Amino acid sequence: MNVIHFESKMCEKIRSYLDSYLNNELLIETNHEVLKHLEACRECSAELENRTRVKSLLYQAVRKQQAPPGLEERIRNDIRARASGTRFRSLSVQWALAAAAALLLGVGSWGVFRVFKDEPGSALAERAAAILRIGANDHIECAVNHQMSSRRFTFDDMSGSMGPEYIGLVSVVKERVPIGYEIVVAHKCHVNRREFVHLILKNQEKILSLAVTRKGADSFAEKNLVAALKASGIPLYNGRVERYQVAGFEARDHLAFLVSDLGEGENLQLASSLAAPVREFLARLEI
Amino acid sequence: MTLQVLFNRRIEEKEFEAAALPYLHDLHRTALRVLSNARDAEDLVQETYLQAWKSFHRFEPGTNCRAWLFKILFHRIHHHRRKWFSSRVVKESDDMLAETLAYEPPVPEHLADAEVLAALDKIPPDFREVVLLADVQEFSYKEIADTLNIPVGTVMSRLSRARKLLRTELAGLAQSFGIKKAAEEGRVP
Repeated sequence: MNVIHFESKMCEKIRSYLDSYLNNELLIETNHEVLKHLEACRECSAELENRTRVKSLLYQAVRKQQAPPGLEERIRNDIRARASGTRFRSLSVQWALAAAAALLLGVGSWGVFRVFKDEPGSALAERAAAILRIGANDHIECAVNHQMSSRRFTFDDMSGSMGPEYIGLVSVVKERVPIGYEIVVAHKCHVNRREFVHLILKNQEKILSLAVTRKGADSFAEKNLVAALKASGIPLYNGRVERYQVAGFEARDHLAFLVSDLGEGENLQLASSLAAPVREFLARLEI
Repeated sequence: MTLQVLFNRRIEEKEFEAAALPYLHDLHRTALRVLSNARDAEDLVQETYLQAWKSFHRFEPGTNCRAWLFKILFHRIHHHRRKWFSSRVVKESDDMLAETLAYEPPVPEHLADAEVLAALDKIPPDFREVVLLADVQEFSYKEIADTLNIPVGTVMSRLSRARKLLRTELAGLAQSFGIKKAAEEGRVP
């Protein structure tokens, strides 16, 4: 049935505006034009009513849907897990409290680890994370929070801080580091009452720390951990702590860590190119 | 010092949850209607929140959190679609209707939610997204354009198309009922 309306051209035009009218997207003048026409035109008014009804039906029908209760829970867990860098939030808070307590009591780091409950399946991750965190803390506190990464040491500054024992480490690292990377800081620092020999390397926006510290009671080998890879026969242990990638290896009396916000592969690659020469340097020192 | 770092993190978590979690149901119901799969919808919403949390440091407090979340959601939806489905290209000029009706039958006043949702599911996903964002989430054309990464003109044409398809589908229910009744009464054309 072909309805020829006196105003059909106008109706056609107004109908093309109706969708935008429904969404309040029309300019004021156009809005007036539409309203004026609707007052006089029954067919177009009916059409608008029709469209409004569909919109309203859709709105009601879709909005009734609620998300399943488990979903919010899962999301909250995801958020916790990412912030603490481990799969279990309670773990990292426990660690921090235990570490604080241990320091106060003067107990060696072994005491700290014994506080943990044995969580099935995560025991390995927990042990690895705990040691890797030693290196990560130095990077986080010194290079990041204290913004040492924005400093620039002269060689004199470096040798003044590193001391005659460790200053040789700078040239060892310099030789092996890839093009683009520069050693901006080399110093000794204290984090959580632990002394570190700390080198900060920069490549434009990328920041890395090489953190070396005396062992104490911690050792990768003793904890029966599996190395990520062996670089020149040296086992490298690898993990993520908060936002950072940490690769660790050890000499007889020292632990060494490479910490950065690079990707896992890149960080590991750098660690593997540095492991042998750094370890060799430390071995000569330990004699 | 480590305790301080952990404490700050906890505050950030609470900030994020307070800002973002209120939109959980909106995000979920949109994802569900676009994907037509409950499992996928839940997974994608979970991914969206994780992505948002990771980028929270880049989010400007006080700006439109809802729009920001929806943008991430649709980015994930389209990525999911590209990964799992060969894209069926729906041409903008593709006329899903046989003809332009001079007279459109009215949509019945009382329709069950299930019927409305079934009609919605028949609409191609690209068009469905727009009508959901416009008519259920009540975003502006510009916001929709930004969320879906399409020009405003495309938003408008897809919206018109989607609404028309919906109207036709829903009116069709009444129409087929009307034809049946006419047949019963011996008024078959």
